[in-house]
Amino acid sequence: MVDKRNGNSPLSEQPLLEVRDLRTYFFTRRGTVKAIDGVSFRVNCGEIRGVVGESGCGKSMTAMSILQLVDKPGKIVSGEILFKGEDLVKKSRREMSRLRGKQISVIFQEPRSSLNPVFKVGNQLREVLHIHEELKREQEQKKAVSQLREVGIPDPERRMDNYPHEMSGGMAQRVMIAMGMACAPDLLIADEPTTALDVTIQAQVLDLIRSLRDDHNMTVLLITHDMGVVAEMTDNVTVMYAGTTVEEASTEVLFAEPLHPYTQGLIASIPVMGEVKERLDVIPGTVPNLIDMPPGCRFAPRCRARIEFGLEKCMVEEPPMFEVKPNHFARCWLYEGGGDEA
Amino acid sequence: MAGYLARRLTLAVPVLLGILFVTFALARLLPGDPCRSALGERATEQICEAFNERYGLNESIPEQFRIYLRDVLSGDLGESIKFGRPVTELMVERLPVTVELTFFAMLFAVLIGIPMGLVSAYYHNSSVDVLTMITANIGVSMPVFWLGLMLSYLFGVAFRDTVLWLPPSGRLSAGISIEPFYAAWGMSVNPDALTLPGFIANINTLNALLVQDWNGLGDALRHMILPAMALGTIPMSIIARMTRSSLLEVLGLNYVRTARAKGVRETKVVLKHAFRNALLPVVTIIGLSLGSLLSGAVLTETVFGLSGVGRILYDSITGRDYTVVQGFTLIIAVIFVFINLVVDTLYAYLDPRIRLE
Repeated sequence: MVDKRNGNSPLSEQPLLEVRDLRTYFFTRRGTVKAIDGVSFRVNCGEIRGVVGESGCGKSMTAMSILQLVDKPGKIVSGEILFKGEDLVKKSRREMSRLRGKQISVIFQEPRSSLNPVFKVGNQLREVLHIHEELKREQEQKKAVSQLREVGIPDPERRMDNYPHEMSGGMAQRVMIAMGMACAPDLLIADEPTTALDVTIQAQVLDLIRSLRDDHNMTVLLITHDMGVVAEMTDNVTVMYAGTTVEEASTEVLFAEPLHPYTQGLIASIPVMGEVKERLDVIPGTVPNLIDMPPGCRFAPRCRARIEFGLEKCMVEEPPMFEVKPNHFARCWLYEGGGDEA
Repeated sequence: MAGYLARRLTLAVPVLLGILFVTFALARLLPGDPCRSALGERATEQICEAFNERYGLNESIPEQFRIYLRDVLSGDLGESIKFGRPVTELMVERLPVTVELTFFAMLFAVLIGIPMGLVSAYYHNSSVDVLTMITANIGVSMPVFWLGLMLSYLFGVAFRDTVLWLPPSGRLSAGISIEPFYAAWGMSVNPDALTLPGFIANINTLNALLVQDWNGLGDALRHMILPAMALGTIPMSIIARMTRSSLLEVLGLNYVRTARAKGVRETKVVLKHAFRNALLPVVTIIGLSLGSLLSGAVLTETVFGLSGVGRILYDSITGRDYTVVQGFTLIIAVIFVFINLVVDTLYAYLDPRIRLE
């Protein structure tokens, strides 16, 4: 049996989602904020694809761009988002609202504030079914209850009548997942699904997402800043920095052999159990201001490798993605000769 | 929900007692001798003693309060010095006018203000938004008496003999009278006592509706349009601005994003998911405006020749008719408490989190 999840699918197979050179800018009075400036990645059917990076690097905005839910004054200025081969950027508002919740659904970081406080969770769950599926009332109710049961909510019939404030964060996130799964979507975007939850609940929610993926052969785009979650959950990873993708590889390869100096810094910053350190490793400096980016590589001002190897090009010209090894890409001048330009 | 309501009702009892105490105290704290302010500077000692005896003013203050409580609770608010009629009788006559006016003013304010706010928030930062908010700002800054005069000039004088003509003053046209519903229904009601049927019969539009006098209803409504517009413009503008800002705030919240992500259409996102949450501050404003309209419609009532609460309060204060001032203050305070109760109940209905407290 072919394992679809390892990401090394043959090139002929169409990816479920392909983002090509996406740029989402915010036009503010203080200038143009380039929240996403050249993001490309593919998500294959059945895989869990991680998108990782610091806060403010554009991870969540990538998710909102895919859903076409970028709020004003933000706008997708260029790029393509191909979902099953169709460009979502070109879809009308009505076409998108038919797609959202049905084929692509999303769960957010703050589960309790993501549920409407004035409606019962049961009604909020049924609303998804109501919009996308033509069911009779009783069927709708039945299906909603079974969804709640599937995400591990005890006593689901009674929980249907709860309001969000009567639930814990973990429960609320399960409701969000049930809502996301209600119409059996092809793609589930999980935007920091466990960040607001405490550690034991985190593990439960992650397990739930993984088992749902296994049971329904769903594809998951998991957005997180937590390298631990990435290591545990994902098949392939895209690393983002300051609005661009900087590295892309399968999870194992990425952790074993990170290529981009930023990824190397990220991995080095994970504390290792049992190892005593004076200080945790950190990446010096901060993410550049998204309004005026440095002209060359965005990571150059913080990059140790640049100084070690005496590269001068970094401050002047932005590197492209190099395919350093098969299916392992990095946006760094260090690999200029070592691979083909992607 | 029932428990919440019961709690709120219980809480209203001490408030009402407090109101009784304050209105009583206010009358005692007014400067001057009640006898001489009623009978004039030259009243003799004997006359004043007789006066005090008659009005119970020679009793101790606690005893006076006891008598006052007893009388108020039995529905006796005293007699007006100026009109020589029981205050309750004046209430049956005046209160319905103001209640009717306030109702239509608020109806106008809500029916125009909320959609204005909705449209403004939906088309945030567009020309529609700017135009709506300019209208609201003009509305809120226009003095009521000026707007009233302009409206009655425009519709009452300038549009005379056209279809747009509207009566600039009064409650009914000459020659039109509506039979009190209790008479039509064969009930025997004392029209002067403070009774619910007597009160309702004096709300012309409601009474006309009850006896199905469509001609009378039309006439009463036509008389209401201008004063309701004049009185309702300021609350309308405040409601429009409040709806807009409240809705804009809610539209940026996480659960609205969730609704969009579920595939809910944008109009439904606004009208269903955001609107109900955004309504809370709007309901507060409506409640507050209602209270102030009831007691503060003096200018509108004067401009449009309506004899309601505002008019009689003004006349009684200037004429030192203390029983009337006391009685009407009390009834307005009671209505205020009632409106607050309704607002609190609406809160609990709109937001389940409030029911818990």
